[in-house]
Amino acid sequence: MLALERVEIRYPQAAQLQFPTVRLNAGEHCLLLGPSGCGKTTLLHVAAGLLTPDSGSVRLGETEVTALTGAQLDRFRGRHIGIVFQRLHLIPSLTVLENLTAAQYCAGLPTDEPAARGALARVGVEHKASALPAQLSQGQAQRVAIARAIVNRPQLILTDEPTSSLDDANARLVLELLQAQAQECNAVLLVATHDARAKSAIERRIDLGTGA
Amino acid sequence: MNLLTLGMADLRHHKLANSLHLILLTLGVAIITALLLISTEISGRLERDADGIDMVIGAKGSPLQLILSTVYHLDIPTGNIPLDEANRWAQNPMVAQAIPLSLGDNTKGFRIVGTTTALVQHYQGKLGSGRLWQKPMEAVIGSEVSKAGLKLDQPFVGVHGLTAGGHAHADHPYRVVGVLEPTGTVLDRLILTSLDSVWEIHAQHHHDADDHDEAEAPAMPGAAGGGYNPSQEITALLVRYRSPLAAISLPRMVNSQSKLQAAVPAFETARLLQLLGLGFDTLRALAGVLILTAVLSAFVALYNAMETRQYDLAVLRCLGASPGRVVAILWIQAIALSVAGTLLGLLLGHAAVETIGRLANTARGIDLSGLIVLPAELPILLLPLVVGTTAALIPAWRAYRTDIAATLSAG
Ligand SMILES: Nc1ncnc2c1ncn2[C@@H]1O[C@H](COP(=O)(O)OP(=O)(O)OP(=O)(O)O)[C@@H](O)[C@H]1O
Ligand SMILES: [Mg+2]
Repeated sequence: MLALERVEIRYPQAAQLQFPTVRLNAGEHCLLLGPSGCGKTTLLHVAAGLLTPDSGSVRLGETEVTALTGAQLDRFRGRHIGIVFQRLHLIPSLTVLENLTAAQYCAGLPTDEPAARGALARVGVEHKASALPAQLSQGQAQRVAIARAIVNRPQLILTDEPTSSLDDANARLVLELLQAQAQECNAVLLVATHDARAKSAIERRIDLGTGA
Repeated sequence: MNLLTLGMADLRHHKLANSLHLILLTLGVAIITALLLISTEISGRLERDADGIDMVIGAKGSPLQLILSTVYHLDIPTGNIPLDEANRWAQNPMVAQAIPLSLGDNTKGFRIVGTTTALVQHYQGKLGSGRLWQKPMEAVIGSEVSKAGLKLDQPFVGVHGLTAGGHAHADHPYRVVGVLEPTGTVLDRLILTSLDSVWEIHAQHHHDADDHDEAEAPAMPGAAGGGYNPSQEITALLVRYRSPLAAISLPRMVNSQSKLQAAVPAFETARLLQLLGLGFDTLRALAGVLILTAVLSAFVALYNAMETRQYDLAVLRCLGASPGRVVAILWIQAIALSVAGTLLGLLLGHAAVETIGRLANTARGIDLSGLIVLPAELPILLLPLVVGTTAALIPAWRAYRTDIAATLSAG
């Protein structure tokens, strides 16, 4: 269960952003919509514990994320939140498999190679396990990023513009993949996008532009 | 997967840049190591060669030249002195031991030294084979000389002068009767014979041709083989005092009461090292600058790497790594680079000195070895800790303070 209550962010020299309360149950999938600059990325960062809100609170499951600080917060994020960035941010010096085991290690979990290979298999890139990120196609890299986000079986999966640089077929594939993996982990899936193609895939939506 | 694999993977990923920093660091450390070895070995060797020689009596001239020529066998002598006058000083009650030396010839660049067997005992020379000389024209050779090809029982001729390529005394061949074991002193490079041998050659030679006007040649014609003939000359007398008190008066007495010169090896060696010291200090400063450059470049490298690594490190933070772990990764990288640079530098420094030692060995007397380890090298081992930590400091601070959200949005 994810709950964002009356979250407020005040950027210096920028607009103050006030977000509506968001409550999503485990296994629920939701789109985060709105025009550019309305604060979609900002809200994802708040949900991920990367940005501490100036007021309001964030809860994930039984944990008050906003009460965590420092290394505790980092560890909680590593264990329970999977993030797929728009630019993927795979670590270029590590192989595909190592990118996944690094996610396990950073979260403070024991390195579990079979589990990592399993995650790669679920998104269909197991054969690229020992390749470097630079040797992957864009589509393959996107799958690896999704595999890395789910390898620790998180309670919350956050993705920012996952489809903006993809063609129709691939965009649909990636959304299906995200939904399937979120379902498999029974995780909350939150997808920030202004891509109309996403709307047909996921019903639940929060529109920051209208405040709905 | 651990911090080390994360750090090393990144170092490998930027091979070229990191190799350059490694090379700079290696060169800096190598130069410092080589300087340390060379200066220690040279001054150690100079001390060993002069050990137990309190004073040298020879012909007037430069005292440094007198010491260089008769104690270290590097320079040409200042001239010759009459034997009877030398003997007068040798019998002085303040003198415990006086070893006469007579120089003038060489073979293959190794000096033939007319002396007494006291010189062998002085340097604690032990016979590896054969025996000491008993008759004129019998010679005992040092270990370096035997390595250069002279064998037991082999005859050889002396060449006039102290460097190879002079007039050969072909009609007066020597014979090797003994080979000394290595002593680590100048003795290893000498060919020792009796004073009589030297006198005999040059007396004979004088009847043949009158080209012996060089100062270093024992030039007095006369009966050869007759022991210490008063009309003979020698090059120098190596003197050991009976008591330390002699140091105060004896050199002054020699210098004022005779046409001879007294020089004190300890004093002249110190002067020589001081002159050399200038050179060593300059090189040491240069090595310091090199190391500083290496530190600076490692620093700039890590700092620049941070610029591109901001995202990677922010990603690691997203994946759950604490700021401390991220800093540890950077520190591991810096330490790994500088440990490798230091160890390679030590290795290279030793190898360089060993190579110089082998190449210059026979030519220049002071044999250098890269195969010894000095206690003074220990502080060098601390270098990577200092260099690495310094270089990692600011990037680590930046990584620690980085705003992950902003970094990732910007990326
Ligand atoms: N680090 C920051 N400092 C100051 N202002 C910021 C910062 N990040 C975002 N903003 C501002 O906050 C607002 C929301 O930004 P955000 O990136 O969340 O928008 P977005 O909805 O993701 O837009 P887009 O669809 O273009 O990605 C914008 O007006 C932006 O200028
Ligand atoms: Mg955005």
